[in-house]
Amino acid sequence: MSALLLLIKEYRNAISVFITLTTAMVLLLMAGVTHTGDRLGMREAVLQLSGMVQSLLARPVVTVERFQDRLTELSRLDRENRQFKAEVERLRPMGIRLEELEQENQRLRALLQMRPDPAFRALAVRVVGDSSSAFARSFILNAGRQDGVIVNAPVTVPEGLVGRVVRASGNASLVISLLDLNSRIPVLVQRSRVKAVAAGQNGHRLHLEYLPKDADVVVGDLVVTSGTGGIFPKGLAVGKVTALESGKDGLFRAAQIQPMVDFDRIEEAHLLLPLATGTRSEGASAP
Amino acid sequence: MMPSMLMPWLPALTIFVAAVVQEMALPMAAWAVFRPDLVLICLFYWRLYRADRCGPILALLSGLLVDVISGSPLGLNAVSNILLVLIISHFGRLIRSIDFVYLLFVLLLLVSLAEAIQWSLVMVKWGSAVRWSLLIGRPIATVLIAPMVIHLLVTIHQTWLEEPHARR
Repeated sequence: MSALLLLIKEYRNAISVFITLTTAMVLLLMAGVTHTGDRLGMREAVLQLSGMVQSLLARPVVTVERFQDRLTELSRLDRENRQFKAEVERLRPMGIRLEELEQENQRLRALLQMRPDPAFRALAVRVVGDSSSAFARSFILNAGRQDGVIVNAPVTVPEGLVGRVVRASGNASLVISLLDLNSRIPVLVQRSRVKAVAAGQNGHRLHLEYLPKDADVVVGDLVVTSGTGGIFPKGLAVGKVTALESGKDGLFRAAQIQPMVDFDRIEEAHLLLPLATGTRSEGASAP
Repeated sequence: MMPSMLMPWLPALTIFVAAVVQEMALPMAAWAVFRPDLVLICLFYWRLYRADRCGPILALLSGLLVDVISGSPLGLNAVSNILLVLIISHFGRLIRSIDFVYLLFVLLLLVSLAEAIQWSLVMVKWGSAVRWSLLIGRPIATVLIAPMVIHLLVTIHQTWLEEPHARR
């Protein structure tokens, strides 16, 4: 017995190697047939443990991945944001243009609804320039003699009278506005039918001259063209009386008129051209 | 301080921890190809420098543990571990005498050998195909991470398994 123990002790390493290697080989040979680990229930337990440990260990990784996904998402959103901003910048001028066209459309519709004097034909024109200075209030239209424009042709907008043509070239014409110092228009007070002359002052208002001293005129009265002189048709709105000047001496008194037209905002207008030069009469009236 | 009764089991404990880390913490997509064999590094070190604490039985048990956790055929890693322990024992004196850089080369050979043994066993028994990328990636990853693991093992060794006078 002791001899056997001595033998074992002497070859202890070799024996342990043999036993362990044999065990491992036997297990390996059995593995494919019986699934040793499965039968022992080890794999399931280890799988469960492994799953728990791995999910615990994977948590920071998952967090980092989510963070990375979030960063990617933010990056995508940032890229899209830049694209949309560029798109908005690209479309902004179109929006402004659209607004412009909308307003122009409204103005032109209003212009179309204005019924011209039967003795005149209306020519829609566009204001292409402002030649006003310190001593003149005039502007340029994009229609001239080629379009049938003649000197003294009245210019109107839906709100009322603007002025008259003083010079016409082939395809453009110069218009002197009511406000010009040289403008003198025969008018009458619509309510009381009192006649007078509306004179420009190069300012924002007109001066009503030659108003009889005892004339029935009050602030707020509408002043329209009288038709005398043969240039302007009768009944075109000129302005409203805003102030009366008391004339102590003489035969006349004066008044201030606020024009109906905003001269700073005129973009399109109607040129009233006589249908036949001979048919124009002083009493031609607007409807 | 570590209880003195636990100290002799430190090699086994490190191998157990290595198996758990290797098979549970590292098997993620990013590590799939370059997954180091931490158990083999531990076996290599302890068999070289504390052969009395790391024999064939520990090799068998650690191999079985890896097989169970990883789902490999039971005994596959055990066989390769035991054979490697035998080889390390046989060439231990020679391996201990060489420089650390060459030691890494030896480790590379050993891991490759372990892979070759496992591949051979699998081919003989099942004849199934292997993932060559994993087979090649593992030795490289093992050698790359070996200096760090060995440094850790040296620290553990010197701190808890060596007598104070022996450290000098």
